[in-house]
Order: sequence, then structure tokens, then C-alpha cells
Amino acid sequence: MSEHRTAAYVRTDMLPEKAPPVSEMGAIRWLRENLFSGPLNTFLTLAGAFVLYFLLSEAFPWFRNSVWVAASVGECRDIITARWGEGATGACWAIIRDRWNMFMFGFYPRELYWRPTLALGLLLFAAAPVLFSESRRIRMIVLGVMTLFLVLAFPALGVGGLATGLMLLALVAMLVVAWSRPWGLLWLTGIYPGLAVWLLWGGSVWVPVLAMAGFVLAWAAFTATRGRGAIISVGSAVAAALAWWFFAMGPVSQVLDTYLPYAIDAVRSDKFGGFVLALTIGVAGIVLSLPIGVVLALARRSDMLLVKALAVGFIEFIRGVPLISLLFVASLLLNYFLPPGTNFDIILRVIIMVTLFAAAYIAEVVRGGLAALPRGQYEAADSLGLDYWKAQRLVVLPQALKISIPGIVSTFIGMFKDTTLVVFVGLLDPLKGITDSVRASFEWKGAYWEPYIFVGCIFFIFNFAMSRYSMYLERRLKRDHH
Amino acid sequence: MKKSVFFGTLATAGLVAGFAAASTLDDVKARGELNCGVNTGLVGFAAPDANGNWSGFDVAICKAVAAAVLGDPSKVKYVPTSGQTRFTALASGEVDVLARNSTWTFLRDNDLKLDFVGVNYYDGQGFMVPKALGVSSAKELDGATICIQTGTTTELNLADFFKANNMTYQPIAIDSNAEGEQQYLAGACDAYTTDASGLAATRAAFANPADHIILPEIISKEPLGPAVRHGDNQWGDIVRWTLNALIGRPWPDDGPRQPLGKTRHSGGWQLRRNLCRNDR
Amino acid sequence: MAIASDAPKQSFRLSQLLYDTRYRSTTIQVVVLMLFMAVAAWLVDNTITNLAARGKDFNFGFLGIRAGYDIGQRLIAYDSDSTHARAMLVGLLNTLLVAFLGCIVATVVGVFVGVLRLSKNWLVSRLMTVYVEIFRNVPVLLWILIIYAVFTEAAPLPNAFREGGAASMILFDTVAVTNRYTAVPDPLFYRSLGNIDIGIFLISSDLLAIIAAVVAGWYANRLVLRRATAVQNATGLRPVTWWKTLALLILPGVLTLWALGFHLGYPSLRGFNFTGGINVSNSFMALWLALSLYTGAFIAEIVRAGVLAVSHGQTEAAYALGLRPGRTMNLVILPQALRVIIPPLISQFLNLTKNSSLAIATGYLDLRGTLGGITLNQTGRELETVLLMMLIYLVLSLLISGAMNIYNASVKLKER
Repeated sequence: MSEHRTAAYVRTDMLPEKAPPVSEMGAIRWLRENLFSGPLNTFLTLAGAFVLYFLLSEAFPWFRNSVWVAASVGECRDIITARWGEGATGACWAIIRDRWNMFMFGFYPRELYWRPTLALGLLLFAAAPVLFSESRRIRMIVLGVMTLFLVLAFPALGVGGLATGLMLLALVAMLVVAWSRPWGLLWLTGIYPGLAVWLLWGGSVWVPVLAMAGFVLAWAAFTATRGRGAIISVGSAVAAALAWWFFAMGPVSQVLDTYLPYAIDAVRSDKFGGFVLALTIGVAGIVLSLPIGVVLALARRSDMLLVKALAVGFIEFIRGVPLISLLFVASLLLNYFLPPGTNFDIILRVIIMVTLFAAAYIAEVVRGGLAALPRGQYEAADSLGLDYWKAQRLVVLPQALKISIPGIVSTFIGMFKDTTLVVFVGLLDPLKGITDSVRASFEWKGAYWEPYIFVGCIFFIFNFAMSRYSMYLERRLKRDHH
Repeated sequence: MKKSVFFGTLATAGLVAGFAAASTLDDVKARGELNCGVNTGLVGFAAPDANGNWSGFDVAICKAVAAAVLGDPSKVKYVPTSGQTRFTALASGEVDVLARNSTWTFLRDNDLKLDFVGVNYYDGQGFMVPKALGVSSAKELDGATICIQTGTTTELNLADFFKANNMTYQPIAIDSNAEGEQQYLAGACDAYTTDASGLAATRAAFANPADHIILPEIISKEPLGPAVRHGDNQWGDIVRWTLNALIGRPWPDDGPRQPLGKTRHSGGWQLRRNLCRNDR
Repeated sequence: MAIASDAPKQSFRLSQLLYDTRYRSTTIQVVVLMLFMAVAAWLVDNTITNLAARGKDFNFGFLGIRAGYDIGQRLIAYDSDSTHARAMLVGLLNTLLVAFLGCIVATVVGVFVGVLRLSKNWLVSRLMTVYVEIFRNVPVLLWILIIYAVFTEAAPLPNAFREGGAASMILFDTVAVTNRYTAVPDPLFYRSLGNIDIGIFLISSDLLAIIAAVVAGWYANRLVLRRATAVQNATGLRPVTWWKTLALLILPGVLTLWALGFHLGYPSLRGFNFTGGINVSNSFMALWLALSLYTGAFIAEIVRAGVLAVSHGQTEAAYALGLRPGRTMNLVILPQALRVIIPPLISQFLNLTKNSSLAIATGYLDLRGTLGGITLNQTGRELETVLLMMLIYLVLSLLISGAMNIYNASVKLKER
């Protein structure tokens, strides 16, 4: 012990830790590593900072000087001049405030705004079994937010308290179902198309109900002839459904309308506009194109030369021409191709062409999904003795469609963006149709940027959310496979 | 999934599909509604307001025909048509009558198989320039940049006018009147050309109308009028005499009072009165 | 012992068509063919009936008559006395021009942004992410309208370029961005070779001469490189070739330009407008920029995914072999990344070409604007014009994807 004490330079206690050099810690280190790690990086940072500064300094005053309440562009300018001095420019958001309803609903009757709103809300509930089956948390968040939105929106749209309460009850019941089982709302998915059409267009309840009955009939015919081979049963199901729709449905619905008239106010297609129109076309297009796309994808991978050739021809044709030319076909040529005297509504014609357009893209997405399935899955199905349809239905398609969901969501985003092109066939899309129409009025002449920025923001929010979700799904599905 | 999807189309098809009968009149009566093709939005001729109520000069014809045939001027479905889709919409039966400031030309009457029932507005193509440009005649526009709406007769007239006067110009094609106004006001073109009525309506809505002048030259004759399909004379007569009745009594005290009373203050009539000084 | 009897004599029963796998696929195909033909016949029959009912016929004779309208921007000679067919050709060339230039700029932007997004620089990678997300999630039509509006609203009038005016030309007084057009210098030749008339339009012989010289130089360079490789294989030493490569790639073009007396005609303000240069209309500039930036955002994602797809081990392995970073990029990373990048890149090029039909929003007269726009409207032949327009777009798409597929095949993994 004592010897140790005599040694002059032995330290018995630890020195306190010294702080690292200033350049190696905290914000400075972060800056050095992330922004100024070399000459090139420094240059890039400075360039980036300059661009950012330039954009912000140009745009900031304009946003800062925003006017929210005014009756016309002229009034906006007066307010800005009064508040910020001569020569100041600013955004005139009063145009959005004034014409909000037009941007959202087009010319949809004001007292019926709750119908498209409800249709949009239920869309997410109906999509839950398909899109949100992966994670309960996301499902509950999305549906919960939607429920809240509807409950808040309904009184604002002039719906009575009792109706709102009833709807809240129904939504909460569906939330509970969705909580317990991902597939619990599949029945809603089944009836949603009819429900949405009925809510949007209104009219007699029997038309959608009977149209849907056609599918029930097809299913009945399919089951009845099940023992006789796939071709016979599929054929008879199709024949039964077509016969029902074309011959029986009209008289039956007339009879029902006479004795059990139940209808809500009908809304004509020419009242549709704004985001209601964009969403109607987008959602209808994607929903209708899914089955066609799946069939096309299967046909393209078929061993039968002729079937394959037809599918390839169709897909490549549709993908080879611009959507705008297909819209011209809808507005100018479809009447030539259909029997003389047939004449239906331009929105429906546009939906038909958009559906065909999307079907070709969906077919390619699904084909990718089919190709990504390991060969062993096909072989396993074959070795179990499943025939083609059974193998597709029970083994191949469930897996292939699941891995195609991100691609399908991307297709939907693309299609939702493309709905803006319908302005060129005279429909009032939110981007140009409604904007031009608003700007044609005397009050809002000259408001150029505000409507574009507003509509762009809405599109961005929708699409960004969807693309993030599809990326999340992609990551999750990738993990599932390993 | 697959099952639920066809449903939408069929239901919608069931709602909106209709089959045209041989006679337009029977058709309209059976439908209880007149399908009227109008401009997508040209103040004074046909433009919707914030609630989707249409008003204007052409709209008045739709209302009058509906009043004559169905006894109710409100039973009109307005089908907005673009310059490109208008004649197809009429030919295919999508609309029963086309009241969309369309020029009555030889080609359209013959090749497109339309019948123009008369002239409701005698228009002509003119030019509008900013006063600051110091131009007082269209003959001084050599080398100018000119904004022009595509899909109309105006581009043909413009080409002929400049060729005939041995001048050159730079056309800037624009898609809609709103676009044209914006380009013109921003100075992207020296002059804006379209029908004189359209120019007057556009100018009237400017912040400073006095800064712009409409040049005296009217380079074409544009008789505008409603059109119907060729071959259905009964329907043609109905529209023709409705039009004649309107022309004979511009400010009616009887007849279809409601529609005309409404449109009286809409700008279209006033426009007409103002322009009579200009182009005659 | 029972002798195995012959297999029962095949008697063909109708039900075999459905249940016997040997015949079933034929049956299905025959049924499909019949359905297809029936539908096609039905459509054609309807069309004929409808045409007859409207007193129209189906012929393309209208292409030969006088068009009567002017086109602001044209690559070949055209005036209002030309035929509709020539107007269509002008439109087609305009479509090709914007599609070609758009693809080039979109690729440059895409590669640049895609690489910068992967950069370690926090600020720059965030900025690039914002750019990509904003452009991808908003309709391209909006970008076209906004950029067009920026040009018309924010750029100065030609008048402002006068002495003492508020605006000034950029890039050493050679380019003037006005709110009507962008005036750029015009390439001129003192000793021009003239033009070759190929019947439909003129082709500048000068351009052909320059292209020929550059291609010849490029080919000679390949020969030099091949030779160097042969020497390297034989001796193990690679001769220094960079200066030969440089000379062969640059000199032929420069020499040809010099021989032809190349100089630039600078735009200058005379009267209303700029003259002396080429005035590129803003409708074209806006469309070109918007399509490039929009498609560039998609290509950036593709490039990023392609680079990320090459595992880091590849780079490390290349370094371990002693390859320099440049060669690592050229020989190891790029060939593998390209394999991932090319197929989606093809579809982006196709999308850009098809989106160029949105020229309708700026009034740039492309194929849709001439054939599917003014011609359709003046002649009233919607069936012929729209079908012809679709056919041309289809052929264009097939040509692009065909060319790109050939390129793809050359970089694809050669499996043995």
C-alpha cells in the first residue's frame, strides 16, 4: 500500500470525461456531416439554400398578404392595397371560399350534398376488407377518421340531428365489425356499387337492387350447373345474368315501382362537377376495370393462341393511344358504334372509355403479380388435380391480386389525375372546367393562381396519402414473402 | 369483388339509357324535357351561375322551345358542348336543338346535314387591341401576334384576311375564351380576335374597358343561329317559328314570359343592342 | 386368358368438345373467335347504318383539300393554302419534336434528381424528395397550365427589351424570354450546302453533313477502342487512347461546322417583335418544360430504385479487384442498374409521348391540334380524323417501345 503511495504520478481516481471538441458534437457536427462534408456537398448545400430562399422570398409575401373574405377580385385587391400599401400583391382565397361548393360538388343540388359525402365515406368502409385487411390499426384509424368526418359534416350540410345520429349508430356498428374481423365488412363491399350509384344519381331504389339481383341469379345458375364443368357453369351464369338484365329487369322494376314505390330525388348527370365528378369517374373506372383487367391478364397468359392474341392486341392498342383520344371516341364516335338511336349520357360514355383504359393498365399490373408468383404454386395446384379455374380461383389469383394491390393503387392514382382530362369533352372537372367557369363570372375574372393552387393541393393530399399507403403495403407484402 | 362491379354500369345504364323514336317532337314529349346544346360558358350567350342556372341569349331559345313544346320553360337539360363536339352531339341525337352561337355556313348546312332554322344574331369577326398599341385599323396589324380561339370559323377568316391584305401574323391558338382573355390581358398577344359579340362581352368585363378598343373592321359575316337535324321538318318548323316569334317580339308581353323576362337583364339582349351600332 | 381387347373404337361425341382436354381449347378458341367477329361485325354494321342515316360516307378525300388555317409553329413549309394532309404532317412533326426533346430533358432531370436524392446531403436530398412528390401527385395538366401561366404572366413583353427597358436578355445577350415566345439564336451557315427536297419536305444538307461527320467520328472511335482492347489482350498493356477518343468525338463535328461557315444569328428587337433568331412559342416551351419536369420526377424514382437495386457488395467487390471508381460505375454498377431502369423508362417515354397530346391546353398545334382539332372541326369528319389520329399515335408508341426494347435486349442479362 505504502509503496504505491510513494509513486508520484499514479492517479487513483478517474478524470471527469471531457466534452468532445465543438466541431464533433451537436448541431455543428450534424451540419458538417450532412451539409458541408466536402467541396461538392458544400456547393450543393449553398445552391439548394439559394433555390429555397428564392422560392420562399418570391412566394411568401403573396401568401402572407392573403385575403379570405371578399366579394370579388377587385375588392381583394383593394383590401391588399389598403393593408399592405400600393403595389403589394397577395392571394385572394375569397374565390375558394365563395365557390367552395362549386369546386367540390359542381352543380349538385345543394340540399342533397350529404349524398355524395356519404357515398365517399362509405367508400372507405367498403374498401376496408380489400385495402386495409393487413393492419387493424390502420383500418381503425382510417374508418374512425371517416366516421368523425361524416358526423361533423352532416349537420354542416343541413342534415337533421336524428338522421345524423342514426348514421352514427350504423357507422359505429360497422366500426365494431371491422375491429373484430378484417373481412367483416365484405357484404358492404358487395352492395357498395349499387348503393353508391343510388346515392349519387338517386331515383328508384329498385333499379340498383334488381341490377344486383342479376349477380345473385348468375351465382345461382353457376351453382346449379356446377357438376357439368367450368365452361357450362360459367356460360350459364353469364347467360342468366344477361337475360335478366336485358329482358326481365325492366318489367319487374316497373311492377315494383308501381306497387312499392320507394325513390329518392333523382339527380341528373349534368349536375355533376368538381371533385364529385372526378371521384365518381375515378372510382367507377377502377372498380369496373378490375374484373376486366384480371380477365385480360389471365387471357394474356393463356396457352390458347387466339385468346392471347386478342388480349395482347387490346392491351397494346389501349396503352398505345393517349387517353384524350379515347375520350374523343367517347364523345364523338361512340354514337357511331352503337345501334342507331342509342344515346346515353356523356358521363357514362366517359366512364366506359376510362374503364377500358384502366383495364389495360390493371391487366399489366396483374400480369406482373401472376409472373411474380413462384412457379411452385402453379405446380402445386396442378399436382392437387385442380382444373384451370379452380387453380386460378383458389391458389393463384388470391396471392397474385394481393401482391398487385400496390400497383393497382398506383394505377388508381394515375387515373384519378387523368380525370382532369374530361374537361376536353365538355365536362366540368375541378381543375379546368370549374375553374374556367368560375373565372368567367364578372366577380372572379383575373383570379388565376388561387384556383389552380387550391385544386392542386387537394389532388396532392389525396394522391400523396394513397401513394404512401401503397408504399407501406408494398413493404409489408415484401416482408411477408421472406 | 368481380361480382359487385358490373352492377354500377348496368344500374346507371338503366337510369339514363333512352331510345330515340322517329320524330324528335314525340321524343321530347315522351321525355318531358328538351335537350339543348349550349356553349360551355360564354357570358351573354350561355353561362351557368354559381347554382347551375343557365342564362343568356342562346339559353332563351332553349327555354322558349321548351315552353312552346312542353308548356314549361324550365324543362330544359342544358348540354354544354365544345366547338368540336357540338355538331356531333346534334347529329347523334344527344341534343334536340343546338343553340350555341354557331355560324350558318354552306358547308355545315350541306356536308354536316344540319338545318339552321334562322339567324338570331348577326355577328362578324373583329379585333380588339389595347389602346396603348396605337393601332386604329386592322390593316395596321402586319407582323402582330394574334390570339385566336381554335375550332371555329375565325381561324379561316383570319388566314384569309391577312393573305388578302398581304400581311403576316403570328397566331397564338387558345382553347377557351377564359384562356384568351388571360393571354390578351397579360400581353401575350397584340390583338384578340373572335366574334364582335364575344369581344364586346369580354371587354365589358375588363377592369378598365376604356383601355381597349374594338377595331372598326369586321372581317367576316357570321350569321349565328340555332340548328336542328336535317330531315325532321316538323321539328325544324317548331324551332324556326319559336325563333321567329322571339325575333318579332323581343320584349314580349305575352307568350313564354318567364324565360324571356329572366334573360332580359342577362347581358345578352343589351349586348345585342349595343352591338347593332358597331357592326352595321 | 382374356386377351386385352383393343381400346374401344373412338367414336366422337359432341360432349368431347367440352370435356376432352384435347378438343376443349379449340372449342373455346372457336367460340371466342365467333364472339369477337360477331361483336366486330355488329360495331361495323352499326357504324355503316349510322353513317348512312346521317348521309355521310367514310373516305379520306378531305385530306387532299385546302386546309385554310395557319399554324404558328411549324418545322416544314406550310401556309393556309396547303392541304389538310400537310397540316397533319406539320402536327405530327410538332408532336415528335416535343416528345423527343421532352424525353431527353426528362431523362437528364430524372438522372440528376434521382442521384441527388440518394446524396448524403440532407438539404439537397430533402429538396429533391419534395420536388418528386409534388410533381408526381398532381395532374400533369395542372403543371402545363401553371407553367404556361408563369410564362405569360411573369415574363416581360418584347417591348420591355428596348434600350432602357426593364428586361434584359440572358446567356450573354443571346436568348430573350418574353411572354410570347423565347427568342433563341438561329444556326446559320456562310457556305450552306442547301436543302435536299425529298418530295414531302426539305431536309437541310448541312444538318445531314454534321450528323454524318459525328457518326463517322464515333464509329472511328469504336474501332480505336476495339484495337486497344485487342492490344491489351495480346500484350497485357492497354495503349493510352483518351486523347484519340476525345479528338475523334469532337473534331469531325467541329471541322464540319467550320467548313460550312457556322455562325449564330442573334435575335434582336425590331418593330413589334424579335427577329434574326428563332422565336420558339411559349405554348411549346410550357408544354416541353411541364412534360419534362413531370416525367422527370417519375424517372428520378426509377433511377433511384435502379441504383439501390445494385447491392453495395458489388461496389466493394469491384474496389477489391482494384477498379477505379469511374470504371466501377461504368463496368459494374451501370450495366446492372440499367437492366432495372430500362423497362420502366420505356413506359415513361411512352407516357410522355402520349401526354404531349395535352398540347390542347396551351394551344400548341400538335397532331391532336391539327388533325384531331381544327381539321376535324372544319371538315366534320370525326370518324376518319379520330381513327387516323389514334392509328398514328399507336404506330408511334409501337415504334418507340420497339426501339427501346431492342436497346433493352442489348443490356439485358445474357443467360446461358
